[in-house]
Amino acid sequence: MNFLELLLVFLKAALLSSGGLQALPILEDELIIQRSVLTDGDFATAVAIGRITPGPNGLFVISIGYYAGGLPGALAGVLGIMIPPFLGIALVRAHRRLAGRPWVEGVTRGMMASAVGLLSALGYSFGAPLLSEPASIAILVASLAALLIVRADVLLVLAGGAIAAVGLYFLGVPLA
Amino acid sequence: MAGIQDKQDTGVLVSNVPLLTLLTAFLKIGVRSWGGGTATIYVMHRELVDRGWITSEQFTVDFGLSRIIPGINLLAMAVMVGYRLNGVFGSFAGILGLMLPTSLITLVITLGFAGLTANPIGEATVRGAVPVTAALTFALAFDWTVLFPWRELRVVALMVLCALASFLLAAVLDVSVAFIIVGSAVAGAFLLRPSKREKDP
Repeated sequence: MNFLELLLVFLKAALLSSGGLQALPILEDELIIQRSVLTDGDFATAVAIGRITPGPNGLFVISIGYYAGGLPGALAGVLGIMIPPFLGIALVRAHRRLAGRPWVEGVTRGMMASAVGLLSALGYSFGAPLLSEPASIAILVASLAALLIVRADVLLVLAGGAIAAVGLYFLGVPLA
Repeated sequence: MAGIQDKQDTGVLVSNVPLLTLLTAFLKIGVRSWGGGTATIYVMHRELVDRGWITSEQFTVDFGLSRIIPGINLLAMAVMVGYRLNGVFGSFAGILGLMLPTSLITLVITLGFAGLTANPIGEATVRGAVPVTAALTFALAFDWTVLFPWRELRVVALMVLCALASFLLAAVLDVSVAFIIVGSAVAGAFLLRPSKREKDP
């Protein structure tokens, strides 16, 4: 597919989704079911890459773009996800105009509370599948202690998790 | 502290952060946030709050606001924080800083993916990142509870209830995140206003 076509598909997916992963079913429908430019295997690979790569979830569209249209396709993916976030400017301006009123303070507190709950729900979605393997739980608890008690650097904690996982692999201990 | 910063932006501690400094900060966030979106939120929080640019409260507010915007929330977050720190140019510095290293790394991994997954050590490394990612999420959620106005017992009790309800709705009932945030915001407008007595501490 050419650059412009792909850009429009990626923009549509970004505008109709909230959070990077929600774009997936929309792209699946557009690129696999309707146009058959990609296979399920391409998608699975792209999603796997999106999990390894640093940064926010949803960068898998760069891989999808590459599979569907080479380097220009990858660029279409980058641009497609970078345009909708600029709606945030309008939201900040609206928020500023209203700041300082008691009900806005209440709104802020409500959002703060839901942020804690939603973040925990995200952690739960990562953590629940780990409960079957004690070694995974041990890494989770050790990381949590390193972050909250020692205030260790994120990269150190991630590296620790990776080193532990490789060590456990050689010892034959299963990880979830 | 004059400039384009709005005086009502109370959670923003500095104004007109130089664009290059802003870009560098977000480049650092991009390069350091291995482990998906959660790691990104965590690194972003530390980078922005530890530099003394915005307060933790401001961060949670923008986190909530960014979820209302379609697309990838963390990119919206980069735009919003960048905008608060240096206007429209700041928003470009924020999103470009976050996207440049991450999209290049994604592209490089895409080009060399076959070699990576064939390797069991590579696979083990990825598995090791999952529990750490879960830990990052819980650690940040815990840090954010510190922001609750703990002196106002009634408000805090309601906020804890709201956090629990949000957790259950999202984790167990799979309710849409946007719906939960808007619901909490509306409930907050009525139930979580600061009481008159403790305004202006």
